[in-house]
Amino acid sequence: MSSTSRARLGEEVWKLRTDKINAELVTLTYGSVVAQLCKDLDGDYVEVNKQLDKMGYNIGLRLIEDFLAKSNMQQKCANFRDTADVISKVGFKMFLNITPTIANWSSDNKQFSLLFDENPLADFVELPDDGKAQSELWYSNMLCGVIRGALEMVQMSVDAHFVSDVLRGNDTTEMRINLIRYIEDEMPQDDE
Amino acid sequence: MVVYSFFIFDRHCECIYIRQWLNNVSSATQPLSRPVTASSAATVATSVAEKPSSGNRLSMAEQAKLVFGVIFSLRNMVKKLCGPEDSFLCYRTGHYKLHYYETLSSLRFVMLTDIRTESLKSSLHQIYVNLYVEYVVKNPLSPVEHAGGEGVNNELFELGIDSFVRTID
Amino acid sequence: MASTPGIPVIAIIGKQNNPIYIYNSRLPLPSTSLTTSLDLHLLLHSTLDVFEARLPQKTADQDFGLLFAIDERLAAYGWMTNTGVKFVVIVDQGFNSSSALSTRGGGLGGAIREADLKPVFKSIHTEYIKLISNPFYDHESKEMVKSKKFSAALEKIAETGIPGVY
Repeated sequence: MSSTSRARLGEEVWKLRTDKINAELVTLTYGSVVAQLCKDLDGDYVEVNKQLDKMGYNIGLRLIEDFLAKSNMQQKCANFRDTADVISKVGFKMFLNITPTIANWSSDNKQFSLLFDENPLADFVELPDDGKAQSELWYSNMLCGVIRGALEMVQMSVDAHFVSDVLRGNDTTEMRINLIRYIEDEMPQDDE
Repeated sequence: MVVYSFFIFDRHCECIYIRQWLNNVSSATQPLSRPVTASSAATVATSVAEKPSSGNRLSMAEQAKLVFGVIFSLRNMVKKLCGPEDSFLCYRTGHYKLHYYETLSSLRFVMLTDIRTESLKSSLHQIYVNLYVEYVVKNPLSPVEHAGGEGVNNELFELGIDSFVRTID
Repeated sequence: MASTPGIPVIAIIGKQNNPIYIYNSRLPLPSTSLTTSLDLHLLLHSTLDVFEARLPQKTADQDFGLLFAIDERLAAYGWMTNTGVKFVVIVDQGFNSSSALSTRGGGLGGAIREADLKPVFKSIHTEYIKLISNPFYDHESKEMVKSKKFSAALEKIAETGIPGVY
């Protein structure tokens, strides 16, 4: 499947097979989750990042099934570059109606970055001005967990984390995704 | 067309759902009666059912294990012989036909029917898309991993499977 | 011809009449009575009485129009949202405006019609909604807002002035 036909697929799924919801509702819901976590954990932003990642992971485990069902993909991606393309053009398009740019491939084709020109989760947001949040909190960290969880279900073990965020005053919002290994098919247990 | 039984296996090779419609081949002429449902492989280990093609008495749990053994080997064999592009769809014996569908997330759907049935690949895909994803995956209260079939066995899914099998007939 | 009437002051006042944010471009304002920020606070405080007095007559309409004229050049206009948050804008009409503003109800006599301010209030309202949509915004806080985004947005509104007049 070529890159342009993937873009078309993403467009089509978004238009025809996705139930839409008010954007502000999503933004405010996600915002309340993050703000409440920050409050509950007493401004321990490292822990907040962890919790967001964990929540995302649990979402990803389920979301992948919805993704496969709606996108009707039957073939495994031939390589990790294809995977990146599908994540951006079909996955993000389908669920958030954005297409992050793929950039900064490592030479062994196992690491790449997603550059988010827009981030629907972070509309309206201004990080708290307590001297810590700006350097410790990754506001959209749930996205990392979603990608990690979803790829694990299709037999890819990856590490995903943000390296920059416009909310922190960086020029771009960049997520780094690193393929650790392909997971082998599990063998049935020997019960004799 | 007659559907004998239906299995789902997860990525840990565990049977997470069993459904049987007919107890044996001889009753195939009767209408669908007394569906037997297994919520978990363990709880039905005592219930006795017959595999359509054989006279041996096997529990459903054992049957599931046998079925998995067969499809697992066949699937790997097909992959080895023809490369990852090709996939195992079904096989047929003198008495029954086995249909197989595997998702990219390593869920395996298996359906046993009589031998006259056409390919059920798209039907199994529909079960995955319209029933499994809708009622099992999207149910926030059901767990992600279905150890022992927990969570798959919900009423909507059950009813959906039932009416779906009727439409295949 | 005079230039576009300027907006030297925009104030946001909360439901409990607590000041939420006060933007002022340049103190002392070109006026005799407003030289310190304390003067400004006093003035804004007095607008609250006008809001209060007109409240019984207002229903769905959010526009409170001209609250009062401060002197020949400056006049305060008000707007209240349905949730009881008040926006006050002080307009500087420049030197050559008529002095009719100095009399009560002079909104009609001045160069600015009350309707001219509607877009200004609308954009303030939009920015205010964005401000409170920030998940980290503390609705119970009694302190003034420190958001840089919001300050920048209000500054822009103030600099744009009241388009379409003259």
